[in-house]
Amino acid sequence: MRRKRFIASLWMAGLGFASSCAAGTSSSAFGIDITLMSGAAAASGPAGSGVCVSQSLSEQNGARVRVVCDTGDFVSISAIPGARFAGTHGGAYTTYFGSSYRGVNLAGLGEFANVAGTVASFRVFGVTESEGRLDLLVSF
Amino acid sequence: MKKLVIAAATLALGMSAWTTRAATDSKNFSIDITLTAVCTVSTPANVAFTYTSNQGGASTATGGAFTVTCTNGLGYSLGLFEGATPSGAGTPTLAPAADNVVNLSYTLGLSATSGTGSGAAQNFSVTGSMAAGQPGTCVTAGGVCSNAAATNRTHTVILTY
Repeated sequence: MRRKRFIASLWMAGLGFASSCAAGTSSSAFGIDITLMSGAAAASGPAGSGVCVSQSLSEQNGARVRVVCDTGDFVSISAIPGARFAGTHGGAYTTYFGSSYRGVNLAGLGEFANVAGTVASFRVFGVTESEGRLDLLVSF
Repeated sequence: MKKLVIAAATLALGMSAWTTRAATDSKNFSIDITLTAVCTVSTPANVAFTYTSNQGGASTATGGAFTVTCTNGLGYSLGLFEGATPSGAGTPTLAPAADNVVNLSYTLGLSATSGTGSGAAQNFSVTGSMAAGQPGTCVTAGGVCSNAAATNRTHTVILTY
């Protein structure tokens, strides 16, 4: 009987101790402020901010061009999945074949569809007419 | 005769006064003080991230400073809780769901998770980190977005003592 009382008193004492150790709580809420920079803002961001995006080529001709600077240097050029990849950006594609021929516009003739990964190709026109000129088109 | 009466009266008064000072009595008393030990935590400054879409390195937050003021000698612990309605003691670190406006994930921590009260304000801070390579979501022309409208941008620091 005495032993049971002793154990009970010990348990009560322990309960009281635990109660005094966790007397209360206090809390305060705070907010998270996030500023996300992308696109032109990222390209013109402060030095060392991490990313540069090429606005001149990106997605104009079916290519997605991404240039990552500083901490992760790489250049990625790839076709947009599922999109047609024309690869006709830049260059002068009008060739004059001498005084007896009219100008021929070759722009936009090369076209690739549904490509994946980095693509390199070229078209060669062998001209046997009077001046025998060769036009070379390289696209990616 | 009149002078004699006055002299007698003066003498009587003098003896009476002497009799009053003849003995003293004193009693001790105690001071009972009941001190209720308490702790309070101030509102942390907002935790701020500036992040560039798909950036190559992790971003570290600024802000988040707060103070704890506890009764001298009283031990306490600190925890974080996701959301504005806390329960329990919280956790030392927190990885909330991605912000529901800019769609960026982050983790939060504490500069320390326990202490002992000194009676004065003690400094702590909520720390934050945002992993690299997150594109985020931003449809604002010009490419700068804020999460001010996010409904899950509020969290809580919990002090238990």
